[in-house]
Amino acid sequence: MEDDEYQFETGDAGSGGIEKVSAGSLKKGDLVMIKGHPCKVVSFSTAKTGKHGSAKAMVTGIDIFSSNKYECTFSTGDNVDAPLMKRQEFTLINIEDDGYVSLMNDAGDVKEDLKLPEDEWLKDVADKIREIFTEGKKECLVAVVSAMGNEKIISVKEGKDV
Amino acid sequence: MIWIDHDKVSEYAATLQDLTLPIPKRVSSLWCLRTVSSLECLDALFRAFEIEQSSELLKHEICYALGQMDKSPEHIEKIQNFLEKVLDEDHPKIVLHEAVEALGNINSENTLKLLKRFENETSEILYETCFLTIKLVEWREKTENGKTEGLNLSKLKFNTTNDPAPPFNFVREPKYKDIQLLESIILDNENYDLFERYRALFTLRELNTEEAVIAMCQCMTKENSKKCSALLKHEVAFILAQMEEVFKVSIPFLIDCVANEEEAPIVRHEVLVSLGDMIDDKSLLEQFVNHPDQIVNESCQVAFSYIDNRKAVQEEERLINAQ
Repeated sequence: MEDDEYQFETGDAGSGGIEKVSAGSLKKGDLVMIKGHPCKVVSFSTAKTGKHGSAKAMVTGIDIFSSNKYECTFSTGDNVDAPLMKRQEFTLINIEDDGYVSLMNDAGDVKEDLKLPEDEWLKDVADKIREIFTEGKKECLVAVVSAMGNEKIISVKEGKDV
Repeated sequence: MIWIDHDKVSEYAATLQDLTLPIPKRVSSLWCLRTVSSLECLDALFRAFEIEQSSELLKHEICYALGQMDKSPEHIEKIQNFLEKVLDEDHPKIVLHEAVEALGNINSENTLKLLKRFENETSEILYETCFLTIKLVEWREKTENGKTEGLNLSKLKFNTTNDPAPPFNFVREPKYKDIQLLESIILDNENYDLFERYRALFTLRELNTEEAVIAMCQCMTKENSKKCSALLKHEVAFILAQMEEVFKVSIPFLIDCVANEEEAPIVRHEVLVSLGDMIDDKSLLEQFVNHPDQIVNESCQVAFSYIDNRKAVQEEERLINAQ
């Protein structure tokens, strides 16, 4: 009943770590570990079978790195694992023919080991990156997430005028 | 219908309001609407309450659900207006009981004023409900909602329902960890008032052990029936079903209790629906499905639907988690 009895465990804060989140508060777009895979939640539904008891949550997620789809169920009262993500923003400098990109961070360091996303669920993001880059009017800012030792471009937005 | 889809509120509302559909189906929709809990859901519940002709079960469960849907100031205002209207009308005691309790939950400033209507109430259920509600409102005021007792209600083990009484803080006062003491308080109708006995009950829930369950079940036995009111027993039945990890040991007590033809309908109702959330074997309740008392037979049908729903979800879970 005192605060310290009810503290949630937290994982280590470095990338590759996990944190605990309440299954009942998950929503579309959140990250959660499903059967050991870091997933973005694409559908979330609850079932309440009676008057009492905790509701069940059925979660469908897409592995952010492999794009495989996974499903599982939780009790909404459970604390479940969520991958701790490191998110960094880069300015896109170039897109190679093979899909590899050159990215630069604020410090001016160049990163050239990532490709445009090829996954179906990130097709919009890849198209938008090409569009902004081809038009060439604005900076193309991409967000790279890393978790569990993997990295991926996950979103894009326009920056300042070029 | 088992998996709740937040886009299907109008479907759930239509089912809940369809007087030709079986009660369990309508109750299922009610819980879906309670889970979604949007303002639209509130309107659906109000409407269903107004058009319902005969089912006390449905009407009082609607009031119960409303007392748990205090999501925003806008929700609270709507619920308060509705309940104030209900309390001004003539309804079965079990419905008024639930409306008073719901109003107490949302902590309306008007609660105490409205309860004046029941000052000379002769029905035990209503008299006791009003007593508890007044005590709860006063307790919240006196302790700043538990703060001065070191209680943070949102951090309790069971924090998903608004309840008619808080537990004792057994961390600060370790004597309240003593299950025998708590049991003796609950059964003592001479030295403790009902609010204190409820607090002992909710403390046992917080302890959440099989021993605590057995202690609570002493309220349900025939030998203690004179000391324990119908209201207290129905609360015990409700709480037991929440204690998922440990409630199994209470099943024989509950089955004995519901089989007693002299037991109050409010108790038999709550015991049946709780058993629906606890047991897998419908044959244990078969004798109540055609019971002449409407609230008893409806409760039994609802209990059966809970058993079926749970089995269906468990089967789906098994398939999903085996992949």
